[in-house]
Amino acid sequence: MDYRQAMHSRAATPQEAVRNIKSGDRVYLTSYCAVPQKVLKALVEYAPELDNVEVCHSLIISDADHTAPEMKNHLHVNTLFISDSVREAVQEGRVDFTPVLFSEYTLLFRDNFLPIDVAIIQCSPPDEHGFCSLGIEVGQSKTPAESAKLIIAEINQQMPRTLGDSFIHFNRLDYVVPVDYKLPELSMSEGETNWVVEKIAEQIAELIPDYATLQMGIGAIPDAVLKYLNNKKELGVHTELFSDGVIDPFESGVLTGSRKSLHPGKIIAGFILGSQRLYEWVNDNPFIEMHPTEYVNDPFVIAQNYRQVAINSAIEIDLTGQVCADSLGHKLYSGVGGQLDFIYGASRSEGGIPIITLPSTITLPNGNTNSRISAMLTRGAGVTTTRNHIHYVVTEFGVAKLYGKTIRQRTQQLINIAHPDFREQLVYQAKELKYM
Amino acid sequence: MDVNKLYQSRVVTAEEAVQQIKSGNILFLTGNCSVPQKLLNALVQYAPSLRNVEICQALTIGPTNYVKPEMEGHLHVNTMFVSANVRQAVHEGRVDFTPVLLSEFTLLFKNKHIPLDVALIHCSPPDEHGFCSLGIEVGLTKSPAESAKIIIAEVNQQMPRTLGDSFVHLSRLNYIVPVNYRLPELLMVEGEPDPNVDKIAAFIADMIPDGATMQMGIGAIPDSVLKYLYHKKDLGVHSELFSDGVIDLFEAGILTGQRKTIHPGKMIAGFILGSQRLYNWVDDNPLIELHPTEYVNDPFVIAQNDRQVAINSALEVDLTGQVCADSIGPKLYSGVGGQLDFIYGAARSKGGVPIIALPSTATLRNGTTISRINPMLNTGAGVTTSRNHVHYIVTEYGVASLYGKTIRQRAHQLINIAHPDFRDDLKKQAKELHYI
Repeated sequence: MDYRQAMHSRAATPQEAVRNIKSGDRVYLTSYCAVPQKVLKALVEYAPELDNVEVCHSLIISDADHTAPEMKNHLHVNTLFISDSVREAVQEGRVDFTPVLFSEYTLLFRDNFLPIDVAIIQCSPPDEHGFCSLGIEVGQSKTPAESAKLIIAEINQQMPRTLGDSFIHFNRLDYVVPVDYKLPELSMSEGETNWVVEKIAEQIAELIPDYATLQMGIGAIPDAVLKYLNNKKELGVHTELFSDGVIDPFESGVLTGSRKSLHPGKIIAGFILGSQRLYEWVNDNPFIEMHPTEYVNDPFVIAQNYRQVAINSAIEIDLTGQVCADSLGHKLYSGVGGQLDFIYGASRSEGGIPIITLPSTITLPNGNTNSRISAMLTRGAGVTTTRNHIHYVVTEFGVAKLYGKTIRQRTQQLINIAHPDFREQLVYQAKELKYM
Repeated sequence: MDVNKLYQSRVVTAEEAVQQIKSGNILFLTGNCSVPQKLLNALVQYAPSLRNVEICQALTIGPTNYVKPEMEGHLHVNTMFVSANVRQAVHEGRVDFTPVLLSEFTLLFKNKHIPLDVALIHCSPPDEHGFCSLGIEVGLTKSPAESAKIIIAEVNQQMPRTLGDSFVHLSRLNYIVPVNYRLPELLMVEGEPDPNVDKIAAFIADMIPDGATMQMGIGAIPDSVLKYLYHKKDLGVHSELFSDGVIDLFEAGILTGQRKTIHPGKMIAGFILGSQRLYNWVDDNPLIELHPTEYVNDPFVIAQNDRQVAINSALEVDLTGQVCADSIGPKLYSGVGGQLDFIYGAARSKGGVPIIALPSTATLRNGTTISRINPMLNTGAGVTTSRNHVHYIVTEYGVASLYGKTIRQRAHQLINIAHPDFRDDLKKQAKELHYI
């Protein structure tokens, strides 16, 4: 079969494609750096003719015109992770948020908790067998797309062809919108070197044994850790996402995956966030296997890796070890993402090392500095990793080992890694609470 | 082997036995209704001769003299569950609390996070092969005992011989204290029936499919559910604990275990809390298999049961679905126990039904009635089941199905099952938080 010919027969303009969306439909939108931009734009333009279309997505790196106030009654967004571009709309109550473990995210669609009418996805051009790769966002796209009644796909000449359980056959695509644009880039580092991030990354690197399998959550710290692993042997990766940081350890021979107990010799991930350099590196690269998130993030799968290290960031932690990573008090900020999937999976892995990391302080918009280690979480905070799951906590002032420890021991250890300016106050509060 | 000769060679008095304990030792104390009372009494009397002995335990039913203020400097208790008899001492900071998932409790000892010197246990007389059964408390005792350097055992003529992975061989017991006393009884339902508990139980019963495997947490609600199951078929039990309620259901032919996916035809549990009738019933009963808690409570094991129903109580739930079951604000009240093990295990079971049940209100000591469903948890509350894990919440006003739902939908559903007196206020507060 000639798929170029077939492509012609299914080709549609973005404007034509979105006319297949009907009032009352539930639409799934591919997220991260793979948001299908042309179709989304056409949907926003077509929206005034639609009533009550629900758009489900995860973290999106794109404009959020679809969440603008004038979309009310036309498009309604249900996001399963709060990205920068939709945060304000969530906090104002215009966009809905559904809390879910990422290991179960795709199953909401597959198992008909949220049945999908139309999936809007982005993929690579078909290969000679007719398979399109979902490219840099496989994890949360493949299963929702397969569960949709109708698939509209942007086929982007610039979408890399990633390997793994990452393909969808051209025959499954109902409408094809050919596009050719550069994918958005997202850098994990914050530009200038930040000593807090570097100090934390160095200490985490010391916790990582040879032959470990790594998961890096989103953010500057997890990616910075990779710079400090040059003296390690035969590391591997099994992670929700990865970024540019993996290329150098691969090239220097540190990242081989050869000692992984599951999928040896392969990086396993759900999606990729990074630079054009990274997108080119993953293209047709047999070292990398992308899989749906219900597999990658499943704690039962993660636990099969020997020495799984999980590195995840947090917003706030209390003296008993309760971790908040998804809200500022009651204000919804992000989502649990894969944090608990990997923290729990790593805790169940032989020799596993579950790490929560955070700078000891936060600077508020008004210039004040607060401790992120608090006697009690801010009222309304969401607990993403419970005190019953917690193992290691790392700040720029050290490492607290909380697992199997009493509240008294936890309190002492956490105060020791708090910012020195806040330690006295924390001791005072801990005593009032009879935690020490 | 001459069992009797070996037995006699290890026999000592309780007073002699506790003299094997040295200053600085870490002890394990068998809990639930199996606390070795004579040994514990002897230890308390001997305590003034000891310095800094740490006693590790979970829930204990019985005396509190070992946590009295005058034990300070001699005995120090580290409890992994705050039971009624030690609660006051925990609040006063005399007894330490270690938060841990019950599925991992025993592993703290087995994996030497807490290396044990001496285990004080309680078991049945040896059988002709020299095996003593740990009786009504196998789950939390077997692995810690096996990891201790010295085992001191009360061998009680009245301890039932339960079957399963429940035995310790006589040759492993370093010192034996023969005793003959009735085990304490603990009834799940005491006094007048509470109409709200019955309403909740009836709602839950409606959610249980034929062929389900059930876990019942501690408390009146889980045990009351069993009264409403007489029209069901082929139910089974895989539970951290069970109580008297199962006997009648077995005798009525409802509880057959025939459709269980793992261990068909058997009731699997870690421990038993109930009446003398129950203790007689489990004695040498091949229907019942007791196993260590790291097996029974392992979510990876629980999930292998199809249609696993988990029924657990809570103290408070917020409008996003965060469940607190272990504290009243910052005051430590109990512990996560097996709640999340079974909630998560059931969530991962095919056709599983994870349920959190709580009365809609609580009456404080000063007579005030408060809602247990709140816009935000009390500051300092412990989250035992996160909003990312929660499925069903049941009160006497109905069932909220939260899984896969937005914050808005969750808030509406939870307000609908709150006590009518509090609904208007909850709505108002939910609006202020932009949850609805």
